[in-house]
Amino acid sequence: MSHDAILEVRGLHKSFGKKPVLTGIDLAVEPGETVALLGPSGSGKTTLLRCLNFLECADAGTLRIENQSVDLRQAHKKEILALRRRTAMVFQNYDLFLNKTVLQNVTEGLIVARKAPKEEAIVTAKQVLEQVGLADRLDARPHELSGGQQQRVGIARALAINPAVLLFDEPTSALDPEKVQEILDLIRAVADTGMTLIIVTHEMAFAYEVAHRVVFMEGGEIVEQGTPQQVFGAPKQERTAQFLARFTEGKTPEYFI
Amino acid sequence: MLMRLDWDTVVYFFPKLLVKLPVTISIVLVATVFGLLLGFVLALAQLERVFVLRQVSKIAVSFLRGTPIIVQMFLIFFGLPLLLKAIGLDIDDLDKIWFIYLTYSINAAAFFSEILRSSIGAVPRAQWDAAEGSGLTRAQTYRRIVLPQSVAVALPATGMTITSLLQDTSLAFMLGIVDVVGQVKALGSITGRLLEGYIVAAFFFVLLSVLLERIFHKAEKKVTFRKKAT
Ligand SMILES: Nc1ncnc2c1ncn2[C@@H]1O[C@H](COP(=O)(O)OP(=O)(O)O)[C@@H](O)[C@H]1O
Ligand SMILES: [Mg+2]
Repeated sequence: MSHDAILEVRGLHKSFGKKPVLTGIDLAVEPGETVALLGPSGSGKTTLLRCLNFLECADAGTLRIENQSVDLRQAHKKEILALRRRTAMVFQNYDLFLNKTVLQNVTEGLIVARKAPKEEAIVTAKQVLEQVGLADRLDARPHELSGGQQQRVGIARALAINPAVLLFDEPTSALDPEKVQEILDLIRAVADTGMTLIIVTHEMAFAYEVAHRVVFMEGGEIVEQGTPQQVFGAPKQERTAQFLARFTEGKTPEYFI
Repeated sequence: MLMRLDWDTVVYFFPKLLVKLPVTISIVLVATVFGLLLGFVLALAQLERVFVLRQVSKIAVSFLRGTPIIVQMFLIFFGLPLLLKAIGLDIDDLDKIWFIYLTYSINAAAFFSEILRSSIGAVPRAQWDAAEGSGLTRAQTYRRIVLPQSVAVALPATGMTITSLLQDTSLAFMLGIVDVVGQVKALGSITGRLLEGYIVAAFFFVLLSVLLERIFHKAEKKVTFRKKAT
């Protein structure tokens, strides 16, 4: 595809046991781009993100992030660690370190993985926590925070390591409905800083407004991709149209156009 | 033989058993420290599915949990010197207490390994993902995220294991170790009084058990950082 892509994955295959879950994913993401990954439950969106972050080991394919590329079939531990440190993941269930404070959750990756000096890490962590609106809860433990606050820390933790690509896996799906919008607003603000984002979401309005590109997955493959206007307004594939119809039911067609 | 409780004899026994308390405590301490270290290695071999070591660990643990400690003690006492002699090492002059330390350490290791294995397993998978996703290595994840969280889970069972370890030391006299119980036996044959000796021994065992319970209760309070978390 493109030489300027900051992340490029080719021919990604992944099976769990005998069950193929990803069957040849090709995807390239431009620097500063926000890519929304849509698709029905079980289509392999989480698995794709986890393969990009090496939380799952893909069976085949190549992955390049910035100037480092690797054959996924025979990736070495060191390469995996180095590539993994170029991405950061925000999880559906926040998954903050339960034994650490808010501040420590954010400094952990900086100090331990990136070997940043402690003082420097704390300054960085305070900055991003300020950015996500949690500067006053530095010493709180995860269990003392609401879901929305925990996800803010999750986003801060990912932002702090200044990754080449930020990966979000349904970041608002576990939140109380009234908290969803504020987290989406925060993610939009992050996108506006020019960061590169891949975000799995079921928030169609958000995908439409914020994403530069929408990728629709089903059955372990990319069915269709394009600008939000193209995919929402005039899907080329029947499967895409059917999927989107479920979300736009009852709303006027102009809603997305 | 009908005996009446003689308080003078109780008083006589008290300091004589007190000086042997360090022997009993040393067995518990040594077995706790080396048991935890070896137990951690055994648990890791299983958790990390280390080639062959994993099976060895499983078999060793079920053997050690499945046989009485007194059997293990004599197996080591009689068997180890033979084994070592075969490779040209003579340990006939070795103090018996070392056999006790060894027996109780590996016995405790089996129980600790099971505790560690299950408490490490109780840390949610997602904590691993979050740590490794943040770029931590597997070793760093163990050290900084998983082990601190499993300590809270492991503490109560660890306390109980150490307490039963303390009770088990009462068998060490069978090798001729003069710990608290060994002293009761020794003085019993001199004075002809056993009941008083066992009363004092019971007092010391209760004291140590209560002390252990206190320590672990305090420790548990200190490490429960996640009350609501699942
Ligand atoms: N660890 C796993 N072991 C076995 N099957 C899995 C595992 N993780 C996901 N799957 C299966 O892979 C498929 C894709 O899952 P997932 O990537 O979570 O989809 P999505 O995020 O799009 O809902 C599903 O059928 C799921 O059951
Ligand atoms: Mg998913």
